[in-house]
Amino acid sequence: MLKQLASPPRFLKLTGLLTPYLYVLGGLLLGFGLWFGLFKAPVDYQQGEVYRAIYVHVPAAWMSMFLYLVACGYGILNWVYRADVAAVMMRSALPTGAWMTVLALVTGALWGKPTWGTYWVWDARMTSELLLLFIYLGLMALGQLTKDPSKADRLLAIALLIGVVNIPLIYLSVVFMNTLHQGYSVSMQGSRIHTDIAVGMWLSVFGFWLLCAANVFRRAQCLLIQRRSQVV
Amino acid sequence: MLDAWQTVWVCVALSLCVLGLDAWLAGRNTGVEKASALAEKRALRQKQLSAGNSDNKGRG
Repeated sequence: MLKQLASPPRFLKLTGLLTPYLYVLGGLLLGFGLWFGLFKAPVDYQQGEVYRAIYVHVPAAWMSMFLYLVACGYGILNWVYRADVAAVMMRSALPTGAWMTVLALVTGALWGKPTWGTYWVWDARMTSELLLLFIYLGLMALGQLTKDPSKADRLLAIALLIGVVNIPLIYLSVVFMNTLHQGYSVSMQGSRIHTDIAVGMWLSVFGFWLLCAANVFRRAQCLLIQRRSQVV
Repeated sequence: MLDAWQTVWVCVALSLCVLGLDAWLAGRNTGVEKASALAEKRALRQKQLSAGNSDNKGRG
């Protein structure tokens, strides 16, 4: 199965077929989630209307961490199997992850001003998320360092695995450190938020997830074609 | 300072812009597809030509 998916023509065919549907479904889910969250979900008794930034801030923050793990996973696959498909997927997840990190930081700052009275504080959650952005930018620069793509891919995989330490640091920062950022509202044990708020949030999360997947696939297709044309 | 609803709308607009920009940037190199098809055609022609040459040499 893995071997079949690692075949570039099959990957191009599959992603070419899948990507338009991901855009349509992702757009519909995000649209419905935002409509539900902005107009149907009840207002928060503490924060008022401004809490509705949750419908874009949380999906962006989750995607910023998830895409890093995706890139890491493909980095390991590329290291083991030396497959071009794994290498381009690893590289393609990085720019989308960086964009999601920027979005999480900016929407968080905008939400922070009316809630905390400041756009930015150097607390553990925000600082580690900013560090994630620098890691993404560093990795993207590292990928361009050498002309030999397979050497650059291996370097990138090692750097990705070193940088992955930051992900649990971001995730657990609200538990182990004193931070302005609120703790978990959604965890493995369940959700502590109102069902209507949760419905809108999960729809937005799935919408973001599908749209990010579509963007990653689109970039991977282009990179793969580029590599194959260089080989020919 | 932005009021509550303005903050929310700015966040939503930013998100849509970022997702759209990422999609645009991701698909920016689609012209490569044409280039790769051309390169493959060229390589095939070269292969046929070199095969033809070696045939001629063999006869000579």
